[in-house]
Amino acid sequence: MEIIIWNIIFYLSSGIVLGASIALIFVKQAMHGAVYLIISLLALAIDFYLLGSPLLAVLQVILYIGAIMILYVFFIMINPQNPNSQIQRPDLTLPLILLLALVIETTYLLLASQLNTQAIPITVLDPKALGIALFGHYKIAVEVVSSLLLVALIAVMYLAKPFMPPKSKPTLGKNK
Amino acid sequence: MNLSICVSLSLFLFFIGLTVVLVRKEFLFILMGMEIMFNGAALTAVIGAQHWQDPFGQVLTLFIMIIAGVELTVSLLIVMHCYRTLKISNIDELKQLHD
Repeated sequence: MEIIIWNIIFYLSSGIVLGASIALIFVKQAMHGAVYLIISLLALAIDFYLLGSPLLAVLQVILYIGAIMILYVFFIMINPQNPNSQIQRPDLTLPLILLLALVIETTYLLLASQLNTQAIPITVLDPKALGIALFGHYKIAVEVVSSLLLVALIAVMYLAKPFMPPKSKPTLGKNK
Repeated sequence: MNLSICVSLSLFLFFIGLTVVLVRKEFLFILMGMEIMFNGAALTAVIGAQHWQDPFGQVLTLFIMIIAGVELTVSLLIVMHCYRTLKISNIDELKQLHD
């Protein structure tokens, strides 16, 4: 009985993920798109939890929605839409042909690979094992990612320099 | 929930992100489509962690999240430059290298 309830929640949240992502193709305003993306990420966090990784579900909410999407929303709020740039209907034939080819190929791959259709027994992978794997086996990768964060910080500070207000001149000499 | 349904869910998520990137022409929507593609890949890693009962897939998902954040901060600032200095919000108007 419990498993059926978990299954229903899983399929519901998967449908919400797909629907909110499809809505991104059609929305007009950027803020609506950001809200749809937040809905999609929240439902995906539920999927992560149901697939047995509770720490990643929490990190999805904290990192993606708490940090990245808030950055998005603030960006949209401080940059008003440019009325000069008109939206012209793009030429859709080539993207659609490419997408169709990709969909056919992957469907064939999925059917040919014969993934087992038995239900996976879900066991919760606890955060302790994740931490041990992260700081034991992947020590160097953590260092590389942290240096990547440092490089991104420097790049952002450099790129944001033209938007800073001009510095007032130092007033050390005048105060004598 | 079985393995094929979960894998096809992440595949559909990736395709929707790819469609958003290919169809939309605004910078912000292209970045959103890239976020969706990142999430599809992360979902695959979580499914793999569950399938092999191994926390290494979760480590991969964690790295994907951090790298998506790094990519987004830098690219949002570049988009801000396009808005403020070039006064464009559409990717077809980026024709500075065009002769």
